[in-house]
Amino acid sequence: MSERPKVRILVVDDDADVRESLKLALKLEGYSVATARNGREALARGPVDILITDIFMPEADGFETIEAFRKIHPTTRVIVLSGGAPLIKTDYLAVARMIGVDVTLQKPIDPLELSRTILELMKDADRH
Amino acid sequence: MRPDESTLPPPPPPGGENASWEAAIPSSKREPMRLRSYLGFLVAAVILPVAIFGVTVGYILIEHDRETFRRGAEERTLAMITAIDAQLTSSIAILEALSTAHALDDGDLATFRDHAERVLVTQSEWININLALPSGQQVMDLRSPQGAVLPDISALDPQWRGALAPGSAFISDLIFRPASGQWDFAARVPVQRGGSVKYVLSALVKPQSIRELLEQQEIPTGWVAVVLDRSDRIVARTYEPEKSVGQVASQSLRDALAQSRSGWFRGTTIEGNAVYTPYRRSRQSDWVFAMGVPASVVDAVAWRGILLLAIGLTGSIALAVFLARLIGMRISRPIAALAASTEAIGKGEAVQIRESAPVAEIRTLEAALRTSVHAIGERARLLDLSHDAIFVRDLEDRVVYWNAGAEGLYGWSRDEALGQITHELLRTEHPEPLETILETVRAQGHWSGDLGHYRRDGTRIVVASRWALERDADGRPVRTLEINSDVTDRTRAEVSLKEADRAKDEFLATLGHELRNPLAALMNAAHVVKFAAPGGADAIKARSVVERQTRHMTRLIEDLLDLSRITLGKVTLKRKAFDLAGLAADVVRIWQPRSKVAQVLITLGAAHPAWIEADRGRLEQVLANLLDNALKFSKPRQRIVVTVQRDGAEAVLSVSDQGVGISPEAIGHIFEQFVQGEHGPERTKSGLGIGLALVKRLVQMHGGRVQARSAGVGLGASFLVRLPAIEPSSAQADSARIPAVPRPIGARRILLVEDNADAREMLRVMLSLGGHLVSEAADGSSGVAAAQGQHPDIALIDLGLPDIDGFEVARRIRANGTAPRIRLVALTGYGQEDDVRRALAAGFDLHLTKPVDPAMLKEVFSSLV
Repeated sequence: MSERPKVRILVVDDDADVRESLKLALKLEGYSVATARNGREALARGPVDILITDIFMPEADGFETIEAFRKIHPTTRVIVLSGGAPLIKTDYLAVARMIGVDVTLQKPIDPLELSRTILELMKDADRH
Repeated sequence: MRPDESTLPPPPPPGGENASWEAAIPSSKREPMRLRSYLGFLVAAVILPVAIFGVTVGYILIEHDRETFRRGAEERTLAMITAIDAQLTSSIAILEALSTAHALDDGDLATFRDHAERVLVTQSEWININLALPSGQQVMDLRSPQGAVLPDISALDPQWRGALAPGSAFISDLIFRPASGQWDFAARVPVQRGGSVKYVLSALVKPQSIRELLEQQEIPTGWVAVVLDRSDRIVARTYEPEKSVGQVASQSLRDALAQSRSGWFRGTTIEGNAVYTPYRRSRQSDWVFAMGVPASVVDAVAWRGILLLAIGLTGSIALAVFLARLIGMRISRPIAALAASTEAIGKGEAVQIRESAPVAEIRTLEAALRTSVHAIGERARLLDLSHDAIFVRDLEDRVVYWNAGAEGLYGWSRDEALGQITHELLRTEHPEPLETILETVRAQGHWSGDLGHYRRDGTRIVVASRWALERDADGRPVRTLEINSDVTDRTRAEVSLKEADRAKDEFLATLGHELRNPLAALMNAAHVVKFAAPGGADAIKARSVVERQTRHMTRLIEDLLDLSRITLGKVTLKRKAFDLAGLAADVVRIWQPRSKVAQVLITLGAAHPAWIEADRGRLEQVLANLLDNALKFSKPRQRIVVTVQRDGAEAVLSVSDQGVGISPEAIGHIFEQFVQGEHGPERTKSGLGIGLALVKRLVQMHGGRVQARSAGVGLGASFLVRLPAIEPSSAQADSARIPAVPRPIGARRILLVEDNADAREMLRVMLSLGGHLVSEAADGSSGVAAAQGQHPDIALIDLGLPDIDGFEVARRIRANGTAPRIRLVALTGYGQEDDVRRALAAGFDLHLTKPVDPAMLKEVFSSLV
């Protein structure tokens, strides 16, 4: 796994078990993983390649977090993991695209599939 | 309300169907006349013909009287002239007898003179007797001596020849004798011998004789009787007889005589007095008799009649007018009273109508009105039976009618509401601009819609309102009728139905979210377990995630299923008697470790024995759900207290927190399914909103009830479960005696300010194990902030801190004063005398030297608090 680039990932989720389990899974896939409980903590962390975030969180709304984060770190690619409240899905997906979310995935997601998505995003990033 | 009533037009105004007659009668353009005037006209109409008739009859009577009078006077005149003629004729008859004397046959005048003188002596009125030849030459005169030369008779009496014709005796006019200055008149007869007139024999007569005749008649005083000769000279007169003889008669009499030989006229006497005069000229002598009746005498007759007539007419008119007024008043008074009553009825005042009018028709009217008043009263009572608010507004929006329903709905009594402006009184909220509504009402005559109103007590209600415009006979708007029914509950029900629907949708959305999160964690953990080194730290962590999340999901799903099963009635309770306090102690003990994770202190407060007969498992579930709920809405370092006590026949379990609290609007719905309070500080704790619904169902199944109390948002909340209590048997009480609850009396909130992470962690673990709630700060300034923000009971502060030292931290905490009760304990590695003194001076309560012995710490804490 050492041939893989050490991709830096920041996982933002207010649910501790979700956050920590995802961190463990991604670390097993060879990524460098940091976590944050909310938007405020996330902004305090350093630059990363991939931001994986829940969309509904306390303290700061997921959208606000993404916008603020991208402002500081414009090259960071963003993956939204949605809890999937169906009523507002259509609305927020449109909003998510608008603010520069690269991929929207729905929980639960197989970490392998998430890893594939991350790698594709990184490939795109390399091409740029 | 009957269903068909909702489609009825607005009820008729008081007066009902009778109101239509107003329109049927065209209003008179003229000003109406008063009844008294009508009666006056009636009297006039009756009296006028009578008066005309009376005047006519009076006139006829007067004329009749006058005529009678006149006729009497004329008859008297006729009698008088006849009497005068008779007097004159007697003179002629004596002369005729004398004329046959034989002495005249052969012209023996001396003999004849003797004869004549003997006759003259017998006739006292006679002055003289003379004899003349047909030529006029007098041949004998008794007043002259025999043989004297006598004058021609023609010189004295130009008319004497009237006596020349055979058989034509003749009376002369008055003749003036200049010698004596006296007036007389002559009676002349022809003396016939051998078929021819040989002499004319005359007797000269004093007018005195005629006067005496007049005086024999009893002529009333003031009256004047007069005799005229052929030339209208006065022969005799009853008034001033001496002076009058020989004078010419008055002009008016002469005029009348020129017109007719007899008659009656109104004229004047010589003296100028007004008189009525009957007169007659004799056919025999051509003399005239006339009478002057003073006009006043004749007219008095007429005047008396006219006066009587006038008095009679005036009297009867006055009587009639008086009676008309009297009767008019007796009629108009009760009518006026009825009019006043009718107006009062219109105003909705209570009216008492007595049937007391003296006129049958008006009494009938009174009776009819009384019946109407009764009927109106019945209708008003009917209106009052309605629960709907019914009121009438005038054009200025002032209340003129207000039924009992309105009193009940709004809380304003009729007396209070009358005259008030409705939209001010009720603070009306219109669904569209008032002007638009008024336009609709003007155009269509009615409007309906929902209005917001405020009752007298300030509560807001929603009413379904119907307005109808009432117009007068000319189509002008006069009033607006408004009927309002309270639909507040319905509206509220609609709102809460919508709310329930929204809550259900939100629930489904939340359910998705709540299930996806554990699944995400589980999937990640599965991946870790699959690929991480078995038994390694990661694998162990992953395993604990799996355990927690499966438990969490299980709970979630169990709650859902429970709620569903309870709703469907599939849950049966396994009841047995136990002490609720014991149950509370057990559950609190189990929950305390969990609450430490959330840094919330759960304690058991007052726990008095309260026995119930219940399904213990289900009641553990109830308390667990309440604790779960309280935790969700509590912030770190807040407390949750559980108590149990008896309250009369009830065992009361309460769970109180210091969390976000419940708004007054939400408190009524808090136990409803899918309804959640304000989202808690941690999204993950928001949950499904079924916990409390489940609590309520379970408690209800036990015959109990639930209550939620909160002073408001941010002020915490209490949840009470009230269950029917039972009296425990002694055996039960003994067997159920549970170990004493280890009440965490010594539990404190402790702030650790320590820059050394290892030392801090060691102390934290040690204190937590002691049951304390521990918060941490790595430097001085965050330590000050934590002390001020979290209000710990005790702060353990290292004196050697990187930014500001412990002394300064203590000084700042004390100076700020936001935590006055805080106990400050200094920690130092040196324990020098100087440090201890400085620490106490800086505001520390105690000074400890590292390393700190746990037993000593415990002792210090109990001494401090």
